[in-house]
Amino acid sequence: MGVPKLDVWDDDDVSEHNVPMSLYRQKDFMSRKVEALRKIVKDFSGLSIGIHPAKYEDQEPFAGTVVVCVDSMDARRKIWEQVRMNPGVDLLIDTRTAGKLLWVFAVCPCDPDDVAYYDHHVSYGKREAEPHMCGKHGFMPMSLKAAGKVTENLTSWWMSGIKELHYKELVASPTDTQEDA
Amino acid sequence: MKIKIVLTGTDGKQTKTVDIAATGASLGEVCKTAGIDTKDKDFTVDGKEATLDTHVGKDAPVEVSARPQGS
Repeated sequence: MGVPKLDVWDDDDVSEHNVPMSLYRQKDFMSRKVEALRKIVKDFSGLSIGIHPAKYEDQEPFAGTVVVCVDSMDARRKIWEQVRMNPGVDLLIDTRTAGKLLWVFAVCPCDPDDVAYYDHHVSYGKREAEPHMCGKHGFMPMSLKAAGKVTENLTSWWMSGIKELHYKELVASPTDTQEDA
Repeated sequence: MKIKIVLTGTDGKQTKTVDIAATGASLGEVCKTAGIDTKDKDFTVDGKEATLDTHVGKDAPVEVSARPQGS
């Protein structure tokens, strides 16, 4: 995609359940996720990414484009506090999954309409959303679809200033049923 | 008045059609009539974000969705 600088924050290690839904490899088990990712990205693109094997705790201000791939509303809200109305950030992308349900937000942090919309969607707590299902959505189409929507938003935004505020999809094909109340 | 409701959960979609004996009703009333649990859900009426107080008019499609939060 031509990204010259990429910084990644994550304090977690690669576990078995990460492999079916990501590009992590068997040999990455027990490695820091950011360390494994650095090697994978280097192999794929030649880019040396900046890695931070820690949770983001306001260590440095955000700048550029921010992609959020966290698993709790509390973590999202903490990041949003740093990004909201921050003129140094052009776009925030937030992926959310539960079972087969995928949401991807693409929010301009200084656009009042986007801010109002996203404010609502970070306002509820973790108990007011679907329980975190770590690994239970672990099939590749889910992650690929999420990654594809992130990439689609990034390239479209950078090339033409267009993005999709809130993408929603059931990734697998469910069987719809008709039932009258 | 018939109202079509699309319920999106974490495993699939379900469509319900509910008959409301009026020209309009609040979303809360519509969901209650349809027997839909509204706790911790997101709503749209006619494609726009909605609350349980939002008026649902004739032919306005309703969507009720679970809220994902995983990574």
